[in-house]
Amino acid sequence: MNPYRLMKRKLVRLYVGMMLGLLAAMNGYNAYVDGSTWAHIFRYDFYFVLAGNAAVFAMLGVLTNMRLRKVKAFFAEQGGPAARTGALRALLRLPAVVGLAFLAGCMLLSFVYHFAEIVLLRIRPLGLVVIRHVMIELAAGATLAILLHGVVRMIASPCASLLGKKDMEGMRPTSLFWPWLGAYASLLAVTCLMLVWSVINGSGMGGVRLESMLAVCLFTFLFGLFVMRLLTSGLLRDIGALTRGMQALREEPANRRFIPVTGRDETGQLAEAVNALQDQIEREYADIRNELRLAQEVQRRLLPAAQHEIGCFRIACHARPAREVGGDLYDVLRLSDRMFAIAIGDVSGKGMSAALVMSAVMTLFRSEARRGGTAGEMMTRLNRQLSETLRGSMMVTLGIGLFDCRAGTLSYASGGHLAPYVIARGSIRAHLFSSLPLGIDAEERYSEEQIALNPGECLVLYTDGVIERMNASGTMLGFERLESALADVPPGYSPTEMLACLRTALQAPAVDHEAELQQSGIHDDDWTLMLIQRADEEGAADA
Amino acid sequence: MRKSPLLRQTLAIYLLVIILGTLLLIAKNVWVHDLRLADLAEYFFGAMAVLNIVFVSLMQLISYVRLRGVHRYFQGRTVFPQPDRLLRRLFRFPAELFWSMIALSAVLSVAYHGAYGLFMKSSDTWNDLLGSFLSEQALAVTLAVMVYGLLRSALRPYLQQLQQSGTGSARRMSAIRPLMLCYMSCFVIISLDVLRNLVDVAEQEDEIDIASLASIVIVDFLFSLAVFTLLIRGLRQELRDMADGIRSLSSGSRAQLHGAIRIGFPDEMGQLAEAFNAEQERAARRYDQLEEELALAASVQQMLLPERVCRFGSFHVHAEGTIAEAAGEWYDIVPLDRGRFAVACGVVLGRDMPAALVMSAALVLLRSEIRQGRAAGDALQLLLSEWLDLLPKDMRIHMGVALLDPSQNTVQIAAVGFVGIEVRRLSEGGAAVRCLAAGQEAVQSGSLSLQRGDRMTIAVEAGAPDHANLGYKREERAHTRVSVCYDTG
Repeated sequence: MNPYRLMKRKLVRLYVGMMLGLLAAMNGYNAYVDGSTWAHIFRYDFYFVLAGNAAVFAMLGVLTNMRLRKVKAFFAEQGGPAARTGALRALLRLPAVVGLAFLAGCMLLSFVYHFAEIVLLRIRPLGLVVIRHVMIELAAGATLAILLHGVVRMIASPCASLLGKKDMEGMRPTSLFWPWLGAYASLLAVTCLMLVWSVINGSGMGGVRLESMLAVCLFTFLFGLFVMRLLTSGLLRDIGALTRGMQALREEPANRRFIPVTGRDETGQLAEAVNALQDQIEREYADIRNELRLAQEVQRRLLPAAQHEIGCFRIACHARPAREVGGDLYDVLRLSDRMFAIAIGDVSGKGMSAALVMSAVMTLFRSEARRGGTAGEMMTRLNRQLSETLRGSMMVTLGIGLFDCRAGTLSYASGGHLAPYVIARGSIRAHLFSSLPLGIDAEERYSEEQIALNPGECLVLYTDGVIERMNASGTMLGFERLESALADVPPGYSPTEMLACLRTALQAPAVDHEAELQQSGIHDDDWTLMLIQRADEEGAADA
Repeated sequence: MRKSPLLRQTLAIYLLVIILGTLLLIAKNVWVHDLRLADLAEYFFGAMAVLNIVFVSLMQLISYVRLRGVHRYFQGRTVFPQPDRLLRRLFRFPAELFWSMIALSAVLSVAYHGAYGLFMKSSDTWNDLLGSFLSEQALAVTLAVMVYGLLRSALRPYLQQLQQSGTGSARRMSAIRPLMLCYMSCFVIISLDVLRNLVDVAEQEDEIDIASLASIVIVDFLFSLAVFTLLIRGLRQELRDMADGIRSLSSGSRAQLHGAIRIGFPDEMGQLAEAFNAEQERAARRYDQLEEELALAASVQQMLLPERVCRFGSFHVHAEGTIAEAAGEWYDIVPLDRGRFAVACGVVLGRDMPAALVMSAALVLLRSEIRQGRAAGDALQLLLSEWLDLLPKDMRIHMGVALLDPSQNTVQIAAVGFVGIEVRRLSEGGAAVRCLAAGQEAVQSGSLSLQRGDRMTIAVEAGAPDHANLGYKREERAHTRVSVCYDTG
């Protein structure tokens, strides 16, 4: 059911119920406290009370309807943000409006009644009796107005909560202090006045009857208890709603993490404060995340394209950092018509700190590769520079390969990087090197080795993220799994096809970073795989 | 020893309550029972004085016994071994005092009337006594509620100082119950007073004196209102403090965003604060990784930079400026062969983290090129061309470099973008003898010979474009500069 309709139905019930209750209470007061006879009551008073009540509540009904126009419109057609704001303002103001309107109605009725009785009908003169009546009417009116305020608030708050606003839209905050104090004061005033009046009335009629006094006491006590109970439960509900709202925050995605404001008093202000804090947190980290994404963009630009074809060699690469940015690197660099260099590396650590070093290593590699020399010499020079820069606090594993397109040869130097594999027809070979990672000893000398890469064979380079990748049951894939996956690659595949095949076999992390993190919750290492295949036919090299 | 006013506060509360109660009783005796002050002096004043002293001392004694440990702890005299016990004691204290006060009032009330019967040979009927007793007890309940509320307000700061992580297994209580209790007891006071007045009148077969009845009702009314105001103000204050606590978190730094607010009593407010803190903790965990990553990146970046101050023969090099966490600014001081050295300073304009990526690469590449013996201008040119295609549109590298050769007293300088180089000569009154002004699109370079007393500065110019537009947040950050001073000898 439409929440607006639900609220409206409750409000109608409230007004009707209150009207009936008031009819009973007012006539009962006249009969039992004021000591009027029923004959006297049915002469004028009953009809006046009936008409007056009907008028006041009809007025409340019309007023409520008018005030809730925007709310109705909002729930009927799901209006935009402006409609939402208007609806919330109307809802937050409704309790005070209804309460004040009711009080005004009571005062007006009281005035009309006594004006008629004194001036028009001349039933009694303006005297103490009239003043007594006016006083109790006002005190009771005030109590009921505050009661109405509290109940309307309770009825309106589910709708306000559905509107889901983070703040009060700049409305002036109120305090629960005044309604509470007003309720308490008017309740006590009613109690005091009823007691004193019934004594006065009783003494005027030849003796106060103790039973009627006790009945009055009991009635006012129960009524007061009822009002207090209602107010307290309203406050407890508000606080409880806040508590539950806080507990529910965790289930919401970051941009919708807030507690709806349902009132203008301290509880509403608390919700506002919590929401402001959530926003602040979100903003603060959105900035960082945004920066990380930009950094990711820079890092992507730094890496070469995923596919290359240079002479008789075809290259396919795939890299995905565990976070936005990472410490894995690969590079493909044409040095001359005949030569090109490749690099694969892994900076110790993860995330931004590794990325800072990764970009430095990439740049240094390019500059050193252009300077020439063998793969080992490049590595030695790179190591010296990196060692001075990193000062032993981080290290980098790196593999550099120098390819000769014409001769079809490959010389490879390893700086502590994982052993490359060669997939030959029907078998795989690992090429083991024993060498130190870069950044440990500045004077370390690296040397290269020739790796035979026959036509149709493929060199496989990878980083430790590939073998340390966890599967669903939380165990590492390991070298055996990599080797069996490599062995299972069907012969005759191009590097791109092989890469696709291996990514499936090795459960390469999903490209969507966020989705991956939410799915597994495991923070994997950066994942990089690079395949370099020598074309089948010798002729391709000369082409 | 720190001062802890805890026990003084409890004493003040008991005194306040007892004064208010005594005043109310005097007023009632004068108005309801038509006694003159002279009549009261006969027995009432003396008895009340004795009872009040007994009452306050006993209440304070109970407080002392129950709060001794807490008091000592806050004075810094003991390190309390079990903060849990301390907490539970504080939790329970207001309720304990409430019941103690009710019990004490009943005893004292009986003592008062008993003594009155003994010493004054009174002719009070049992009805009178019962009425008095009930009325006094209702008053005692109201005052006890007031004590309860005041104690809660007074103890809350102490509880919060204990920095509880949660209210734990403490028995739940309600912050609202005192309000209800206050209403009920006040109602009983008022109605009993009216009824007793009626009974008095009936017994003495007098006319009802409406004026005295009205005045007693007004006194009761005002008294009740005062007590209730105190309670509801306490409640409001608690909510406001909580909102203020949360607001102060969001106005703080990023580290403070995940702070906790302090928890008071284990009632609805305590649960609310607990729920809030739990959410804060979860949020903190969610962002911990990010924070860690930033901190680590900042430390790596600091590691890439050399010492800020160093000496090469007669040359004194000094770098300044705040290199903040993971951002695009840097300076460099590179020792070279044959006593030569290079100094550089630059900035990658753009968002902090992507800029930091480029910065680290620019830094090592420049070092490498200079070490290879490349001229200052060529090294800059090469660096720019290397990065030209790699940089996103809105990012630019701005830098300046100087290559000093102390054996020849010469310097090669080159700068591009918003980095300027200036050489001031002491012998010429500190006038600039050479400068490469900032703001040039192309690499400028030059060379000159240095004299003793020269001072060269390479600085990111303050006139660099509006950083905020480039997403470069920390405008207040001091611009990086490197100065080289040639000693006067």
